[in-house]
Amino acid sequence: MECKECTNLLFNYYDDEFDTSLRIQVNDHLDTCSSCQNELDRISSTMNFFKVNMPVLTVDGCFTKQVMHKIHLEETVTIFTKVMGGIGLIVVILTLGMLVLVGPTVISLLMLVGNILLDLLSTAVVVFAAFPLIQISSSIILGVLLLLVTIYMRHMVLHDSV
Amino acid sequence: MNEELAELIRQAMTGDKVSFEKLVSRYKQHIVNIAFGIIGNPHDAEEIAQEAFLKAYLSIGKLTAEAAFYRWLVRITTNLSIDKKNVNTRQSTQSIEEVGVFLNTPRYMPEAIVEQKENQQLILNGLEQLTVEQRTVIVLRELQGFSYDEIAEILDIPLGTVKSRINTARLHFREILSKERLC
Repeated sequence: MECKECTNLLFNYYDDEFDTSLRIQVNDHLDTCSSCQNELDRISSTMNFFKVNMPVLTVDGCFTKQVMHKIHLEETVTIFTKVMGGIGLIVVILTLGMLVLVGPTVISLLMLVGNILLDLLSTAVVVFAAFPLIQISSSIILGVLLLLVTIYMRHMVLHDSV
Repeated sequence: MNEELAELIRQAMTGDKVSFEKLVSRYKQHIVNIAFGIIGNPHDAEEIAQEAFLKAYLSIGKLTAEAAFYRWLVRITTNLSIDKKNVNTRQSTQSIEEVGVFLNTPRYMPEAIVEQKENQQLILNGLEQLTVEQRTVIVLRELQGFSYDEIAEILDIPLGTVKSRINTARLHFREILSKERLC
């Protein structure tokens, strides 16, 4: 084995991360080559220095309590979000349902009111024409607002916990 | 893995908080020090470790085998640490006084304490000059003793990449230390 080949294998040799036959070849080379042996010693010395002197953090008993507290909070927030999301969804479904079921009656009434307004003010025609669209827009805005309130409250709960 | 630990992990996998709490107590020291080795800041390391445990608890159902628990936990920790380190790339090296770590040297040997502190500072400065990928492999290999295969699994990279990354990291680290200290 040549020095170059041996040098390339020294880290693996140091880590004992290759098969026996290769190890024997490197061993044989190291027995006869002081340069490669010195290189191995330097690797070993550096890594030992690192292992011995790497600062070690010690964690106190509060750590586990803090983790478990965070888990508890996360679970609470998850339940809260699910409940709020469920309520929001129900409200949106009910709103949309009402629009579908009661819509024709409401629109008829509005048409009546609109006719009166039309007599009074010709420009009300524009508003009347846009009204069904406003209804749909309102329900979407309501849904979005509920979602935003849910996200905001979740954020507040998390923020308070920190 | 002993049967008691395997049972603890099995219980935690079913959502048992008491068992998970015991696992936190058991692995917290390792996890905090892996995060510390990668990011070099004790406060961030503790935060990351807490986040890692939280994440682990919330997704423990995805774990298929109890034997893989620790490697899976280390994987979560390294991912979080690498992300954090990439965000804090301009963070300056912590002084050993700021770190406030545990010293092995007996208190009645003030000179030895000074020397150990200097050496620890040297290590922290040296690590700070490595890339986050190099720091990660060197911490996993040298401090945690993971095999090349395990590191490849934890970091989800090919075995060849692990080997070359470890070699490059060590060479770079040795060069850095050699500049300040004759190794």
